[in-house]
Amino acid sequence: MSRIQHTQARAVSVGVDVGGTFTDLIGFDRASGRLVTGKALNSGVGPTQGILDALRTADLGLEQIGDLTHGTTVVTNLLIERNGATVGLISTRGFRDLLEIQLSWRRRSFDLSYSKTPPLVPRDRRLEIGGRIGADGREVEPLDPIEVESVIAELVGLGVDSLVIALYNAYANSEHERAVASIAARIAPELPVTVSTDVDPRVGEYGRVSTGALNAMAVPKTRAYMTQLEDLVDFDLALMHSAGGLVPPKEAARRPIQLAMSGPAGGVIAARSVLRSLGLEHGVTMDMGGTSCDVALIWNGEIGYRDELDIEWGIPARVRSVDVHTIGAGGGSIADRDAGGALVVGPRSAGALPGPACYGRGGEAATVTDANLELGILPPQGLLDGQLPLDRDAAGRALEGLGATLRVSAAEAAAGVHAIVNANMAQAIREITVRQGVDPRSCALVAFGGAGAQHATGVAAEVGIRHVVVPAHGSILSAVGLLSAEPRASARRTVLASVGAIGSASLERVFQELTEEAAGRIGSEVGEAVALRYGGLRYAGQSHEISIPLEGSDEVVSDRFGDTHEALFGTRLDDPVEIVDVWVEAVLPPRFDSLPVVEEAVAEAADSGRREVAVLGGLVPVHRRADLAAGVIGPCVVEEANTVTVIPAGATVESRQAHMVIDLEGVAKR
Amino acid sequence: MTERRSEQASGSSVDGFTAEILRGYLIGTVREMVATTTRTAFSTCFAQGEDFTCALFDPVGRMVAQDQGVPVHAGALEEAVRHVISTAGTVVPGDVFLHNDPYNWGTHQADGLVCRPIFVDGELSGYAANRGHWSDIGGMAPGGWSGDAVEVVQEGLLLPTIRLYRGGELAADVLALLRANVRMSNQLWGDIQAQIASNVVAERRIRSLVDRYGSEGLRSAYTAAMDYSRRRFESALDGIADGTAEAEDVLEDDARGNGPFRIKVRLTKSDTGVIVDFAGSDAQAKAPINSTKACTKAAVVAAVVAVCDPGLPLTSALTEQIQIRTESGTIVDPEPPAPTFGATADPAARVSQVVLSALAELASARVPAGAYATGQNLTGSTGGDDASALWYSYQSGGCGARPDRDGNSAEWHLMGNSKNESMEVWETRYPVEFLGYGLIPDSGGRGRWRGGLGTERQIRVLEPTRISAIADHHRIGAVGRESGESGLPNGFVIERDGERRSVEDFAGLASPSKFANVQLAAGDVLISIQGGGGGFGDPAKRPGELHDEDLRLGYVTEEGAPRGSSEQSVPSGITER
Repeated sequence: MSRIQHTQARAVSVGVDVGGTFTDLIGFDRASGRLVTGKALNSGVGPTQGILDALRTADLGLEQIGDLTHGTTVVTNLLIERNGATVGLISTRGFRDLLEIQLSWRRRSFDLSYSKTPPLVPRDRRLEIGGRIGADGREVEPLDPIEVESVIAELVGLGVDSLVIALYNAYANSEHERAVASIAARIAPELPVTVSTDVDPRVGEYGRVSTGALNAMAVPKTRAYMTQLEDLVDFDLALMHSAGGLVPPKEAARRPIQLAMSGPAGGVIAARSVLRSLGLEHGVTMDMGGTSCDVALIWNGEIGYRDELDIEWGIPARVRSVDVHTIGAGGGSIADRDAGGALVVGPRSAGALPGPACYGRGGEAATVTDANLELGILPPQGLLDGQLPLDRDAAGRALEGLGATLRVSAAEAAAGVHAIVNANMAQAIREITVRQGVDPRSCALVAFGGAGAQHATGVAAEVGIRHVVVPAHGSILSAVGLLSAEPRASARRTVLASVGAIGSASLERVFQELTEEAAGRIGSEVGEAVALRYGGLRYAGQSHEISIPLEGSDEVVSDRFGDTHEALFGTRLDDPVEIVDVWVEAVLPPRFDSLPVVEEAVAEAADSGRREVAVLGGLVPVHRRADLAAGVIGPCVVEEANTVTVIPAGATVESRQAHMVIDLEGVAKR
Repeated sequence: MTERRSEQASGSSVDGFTAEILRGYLIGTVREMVATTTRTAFSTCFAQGEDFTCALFDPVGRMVAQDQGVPVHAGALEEAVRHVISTAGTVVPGDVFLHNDPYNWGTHQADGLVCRPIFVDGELSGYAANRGHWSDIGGMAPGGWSGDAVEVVQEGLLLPTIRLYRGGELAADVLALLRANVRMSNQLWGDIQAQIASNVVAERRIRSLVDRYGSEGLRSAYTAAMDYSRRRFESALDGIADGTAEAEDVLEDDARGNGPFRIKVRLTKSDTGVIVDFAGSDAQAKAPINSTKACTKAAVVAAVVAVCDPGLPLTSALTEQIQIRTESGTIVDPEPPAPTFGATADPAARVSQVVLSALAELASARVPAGAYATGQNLTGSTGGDDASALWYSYQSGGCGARPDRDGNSAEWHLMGNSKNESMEVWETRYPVEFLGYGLIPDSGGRGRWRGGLGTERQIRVLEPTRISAIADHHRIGAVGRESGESGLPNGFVIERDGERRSVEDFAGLASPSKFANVQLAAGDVLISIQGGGGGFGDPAKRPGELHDEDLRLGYVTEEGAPRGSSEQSVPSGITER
């Protein structure tokens, strides 16, 4: 992946993000320095078709492309919709029901009508074998190969087309898991096998079997998709994984679970570049699309990560991913009156079909987009590029209906919907920041996605954030992130050692092995990639770890841990420090250190003039994004191809490196 | 919702939508308290089990916001906070109070309330409270679950209103006293600090609210939260027939061969709310099977909310519409010095179950069959009071079948809701080894809809270990409804040298479920059996395809025998896998 040969004829690097509704694309022509963009509505035929359609809208031919990086929701969707493989599980005797027992944790405390999430693998396809590894990694009881063979044969007989092997205590020693895998490879060579410690080597039996089973569920379809992509093109391909790095198709097909958050990661990567280019250290990203809003924190220029995602309630995937918090607040989120008479917005969504009432595709429920149209935030004739005309009367009817249930006018209902969705996003921002122990008011808000700009200043005011950034290419920012991402993968192992083990020969050996594994995952040689060492550390007796770079002596690392602990939790203890697990991240340089900045081409507005914007208190000027060079002040709205930004009275707007930067300091509190 | 009720928050200066937003802000603040506690906690109980509950109160101690806490903690949190307020005297910014007094609205001594006033610009603007399960609070049994306690002081350190911080200044002597009387005092202090941190976050957030919306905005938020909860509860009550219904249930024994102990309820629902009268319940026991008033109330509130509308936000405006009548000196309202440590587990589960049974008479289509309904609270300790080797286990089991679907397997009963802890992690911390943890076939009560399956967990102790427990319903299985059969009862079994015996038999106990300091030898296997849920409807009417599916998945076996409905059945002990 690092050895790309660009020729004049194949000068274009492409980032393409296949989302739930649209496929977004950006291409950079190294020869001409030109950026091209494309956006296509998904046809439903398949993701490769979406890519071809998006290339067409950007006027790009496959023969012009030198490399393509790809973010995809293919894995996310098949996991959520549970239409992946027919998985079979092999577990240690006594533990096959873990996937059904889950966490025993009801979603709502008082809810007796709650139905537990169905197990990832039904009970008849969960089989057990003898053999046992102790907590210290020693073999307590050997495997019985004859039994293993018969169990595999039984699963094959049940129609299993993907196998997961998840044995108890395998984090401490994975030999049994590997032995079972090699038996499977011998007697069922066509059967894809996921070894739990290969996707999640951490202590914790339920998280590991869940992650393994999710991976197994995704393997066959991801493998087929990768093959399809590779057949389509003859240039370099890379996939974005959940932690915002790029991996080759082979690695994606082997460990598809790492693609579970491939979609949202791209936007956060791009937002970090935007913040860096503006010299801003702390930011909160708000990626608001049609059905949901993804919120993430960037602190000291660094993206936050998490090591566990919930695919569904009680179904964890323990993979490293950008720490994105998703709430059901998108343009298509439906507004309704709840059982207590309150107005609620989302998580139900009208999606792309039928869509908001104003799309005129049969949607009748009032949505956020309808409210924004009614409030004058969106122009009555639809957005400037004219691809999607909006029906204001339909929006008005939907809001009147909603208003009737609440005994308010359509206009009041619209104002309520807008305010409540802003409050929901503001709350999401408070929650992600409090979890990191930081103050959101010291962050800039980076708003993107189709609907992000429409709500950005409202959300910022609610949280007390002063600076809002609406980046260039904001509506396809995830694709932009793909173009600027770097090849990066990690390999991990549980060690359960004292911090004093740093520098020891045994830990050094673990690091060497992990370095080799991690480099292999990005198709690189050891030595070629930069290898970063990390550990999950805690004070002895604690139940949760903090990720700490393991560079330097054990004293240096202990100090670093103490500093971080104090910053996060306010305390530093005298207790001994333990290393729970270690990992190595192998990184290659990104294709582009920074993308060229190009002012977005905007179609001429029919009439920029002025219009009534209810949330701004009346008639306000309408500016075009392309005309911001001189700066403007609120109240006004700024229109661009795919969205509108609301600028309240007292706010100032300037264009810096093509990004719109809004300062809310002069805005009066309510 | 009927016409007569107001649609918007009343009596406030902000508009309805803003009030609604501020109400959401309060609940969001509670969620941030939870996140802060989880992030900073020391014990596994807090950090992984999330066995704590956060809430916000107005300046007179009315609960205005709570979110998805542990039901047994949440229901009577307001009384505990009001007790603290009424006994604290003058409060100043930076005060922090501790409380766990089970005779003054504490649930049991292990549940520590940490409560802090919220001041904004020098004005008392509310209280933040966090009640959580401390791993140890002293007393005769490590972790507190002593089945043979006869008075409350044996069960742990009792904390009336204690001012741990005065104006931000730590009362170091109080802390020293506390630490000197508990095991694993580092964990306790770590968890208390996490609880305080959550209260501080709440104060910060309330200050931001006032900063933006003024003190008027805060009052509107409180009003909106209460109004919403009241309105939604009234609307939900409309779905339950007016009338009176009675039900009763028992706690099996008191660890000394006495019992069963009867809990009786008479529930009246009318357009003014719900009255729950426990007249006729047995006198208090000299064993930790009494339900404290806090637990009784929490259990009633949980049952009513679960049946009415599980989405109801809990506030004082809601709970004020549920009147609870108990007689002092009874098993649901004991007087000192009756032991109460078990209150949060089995007594609370029983009270909620008996209220559910009464509600079933008025709203049959909304109430499931009975659940396994025990905490199976079990502690093990090795090497005297060695802090590192004290473990505490509580388990989910089978829940009752619903009127329209099967019961959940391996699910907490209504009064508990905690996350399972990792067995692999346990093996790195304690001298134990897990030999298995799985569903028990045929444990769910048969019915048109089948009860959820119970679970069996096998723990081999690797060193001599003393075990103590408080559990119940080891003889009687979860009750079925509408001709549904009962579930498999709970159990504790010891396997030594390949031979399995109930713990009662093994140690010559008077009770199968309540005991203290039973000595296990290295290599012994302790098997904790959480029973199945009751069935709903006539088993003969279960569609053949559902039964076939159950057979295919091994949820039932061909050998599975009928258990009959709600009759007292002897525990079948162990299911061989």
